[in-house]
Amino acid sequence: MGTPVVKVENLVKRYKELVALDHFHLEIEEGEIFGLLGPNGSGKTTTINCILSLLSFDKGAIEVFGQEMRPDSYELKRQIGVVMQNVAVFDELTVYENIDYFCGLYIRDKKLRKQYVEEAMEFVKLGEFRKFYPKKLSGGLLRRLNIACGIAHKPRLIIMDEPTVAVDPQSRNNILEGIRKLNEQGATVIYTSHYMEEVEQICTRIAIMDRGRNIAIGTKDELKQMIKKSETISIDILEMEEEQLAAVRGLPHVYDVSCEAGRLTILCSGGKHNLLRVLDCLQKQGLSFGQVHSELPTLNDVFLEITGKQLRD
Amino acid sequence: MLHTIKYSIRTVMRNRAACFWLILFPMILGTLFKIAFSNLGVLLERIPVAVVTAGDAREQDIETFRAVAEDLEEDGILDIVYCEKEEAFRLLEKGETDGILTVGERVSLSVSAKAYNDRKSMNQNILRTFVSRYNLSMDAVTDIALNHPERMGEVVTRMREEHFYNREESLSATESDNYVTYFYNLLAMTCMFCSMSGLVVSLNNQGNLSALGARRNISPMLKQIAVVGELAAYVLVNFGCVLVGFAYFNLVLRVDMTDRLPLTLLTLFVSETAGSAFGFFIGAIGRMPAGTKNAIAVGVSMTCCFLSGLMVGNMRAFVENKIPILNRINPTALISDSFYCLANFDTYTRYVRNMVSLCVVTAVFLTGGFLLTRRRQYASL
Repeated sequence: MGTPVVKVENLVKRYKELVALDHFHLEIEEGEIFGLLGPNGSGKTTTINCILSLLSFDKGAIEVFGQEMRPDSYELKRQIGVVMQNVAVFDELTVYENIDYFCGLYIRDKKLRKQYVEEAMEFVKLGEFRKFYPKKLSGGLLRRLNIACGIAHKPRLIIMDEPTVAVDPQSRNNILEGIRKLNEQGATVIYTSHYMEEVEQICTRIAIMDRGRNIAIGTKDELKQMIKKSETISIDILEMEEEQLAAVRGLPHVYDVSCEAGRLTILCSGGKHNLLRVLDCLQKQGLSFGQVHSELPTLNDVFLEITGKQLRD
Repeated sequence: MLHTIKYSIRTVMRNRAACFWLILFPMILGTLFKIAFSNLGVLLERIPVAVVTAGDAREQDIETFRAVAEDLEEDGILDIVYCEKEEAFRLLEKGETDGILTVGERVSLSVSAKAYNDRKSMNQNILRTFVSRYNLSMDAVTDIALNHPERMGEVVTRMREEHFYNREESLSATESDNYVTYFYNLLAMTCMFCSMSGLVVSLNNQGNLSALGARRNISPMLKQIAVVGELAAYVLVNFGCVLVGFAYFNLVLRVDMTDRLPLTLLTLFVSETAGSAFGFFIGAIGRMPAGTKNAIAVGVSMTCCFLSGLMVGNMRAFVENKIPILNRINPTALISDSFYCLANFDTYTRYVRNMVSLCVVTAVFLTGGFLLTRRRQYASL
């Protein structure tokens, strides 16, 4: 394994009495799409701002591409592209001019910059809006412009802080598809979000954050294996006696059974063919049932089991 | 830096609010000033007056008065109608004359109370003063003719001579005009409005004040270069805006503001730089929202304008008497006084003092602004 693209060690950040980052650790390898997942206020943006050296911290160390990251690390900053949570563009400049301006902060060669700007516009599919001013763009298009401004200079490390907030589903899919493409082109991506579906969809490795701490890290499968629940079976059923419930509880790998409002919920831990065994058991009990659902655990389940609260609380 | 300057110029030139406050607003206000104050200094109109002859008047009295009255008519002071008493009262009643001069052994004045209420009292006062002085002179001449007839020739010669113990002398080649001072103050106000763009430079470059500032802070561009580049662009565009206003006052409104164009342009440049620097400094202080900082910048600018006499003409003189130091540090007072000096004084002492003070104030604002915006890392965002 080579030098990590980003290495965060023992990071502590306090805002007076509030501990925003509490001995936070992180290592991100080259070529990853690394997800920082956590509820609002968990410290994702603070982590990003500390990595970018925009925010001072009380303790710890941050390295980017093997070098200490400091406010005056201009050569390191040249290799980083950032898509901020808040759209940061000039209202008085057109789409093309905005991308050209921000690209120009990194790339001096005019010819190369022109090529990069055209590619960035093509990448976020804003070519036909090149002469539009930001105020004339929809929310989704504005987000795409924000992304183009952050990635036009073809950085090796791209940091995206909740880039899909307040974006329509179609634009969101475009953005996520774009992130995959950037990664395929060789960029390492750090992606923060409180939307677990997005993180699950695109990230190769995920860190789950809560109250400034890294509570779990791994691939989505590794994270799901960390928790007891491996399958949730839901069945619409009219009525069940206590003995019938006890029979279901007795099945192998079943660790929790509840029946409320005509719905039987069975939580399984490990094992295979759990659904078949449950249905077989219900038939043997002579119970008739309606719709049957089987769900694999989500990252929300992981978060819920580790912290005792919902990801979107 | 050229990249930053290029885009900053585009940004500010497309900013409609800036265009309004720096170009349109001074033009509108200047036009209103022109309409309101352009009659200041214009000579009074002739005073219409009727002259009637009293029953006891001697031919000599009438001839003497006519000689004096002809002089006053030639000087454009009186517009005399010689008529009968009834006609004179009719004209006075209709308001076509402001008084009736009855010529007899002495001259007497009749005025109407209605005319006094119609605010024609100034004309009546002038007529009253004339009558009083005329009668005094005639008494003196009569007295001397009776008691010292041998000195009569000398007395008449002396009375024809006007004695002035002070002499009016222009301090420069140009004629000064009081209402032009309002336009100096208006230019000073425009320069102070440049603070709004200076404020934007601060906000755009501080990571803890705007998303744009954060994006710039994480870029590899040196912060000093970004700030200097943007500030330079804004100062250039502001200078253009101020020039448009200045040209409008001079060429369209025909306000004769200066005969020293190069120095006036230099003053305009230094002045709008001072305004931009002031806004840059205000923008760099604290973490108040942009709207609050803008309100502070405009509020302070308008207070400076008030103290320099934009709203009340003699305010600067009042401040000079009570708290003179204010006039030495108030950028608006320094700016308008610099224009005044250029237009009215042949020497440069006061002008240079104003410009040095303005440069010092600008340097203080710029230094403060740079010190406060130099950070690239923040304790909180």
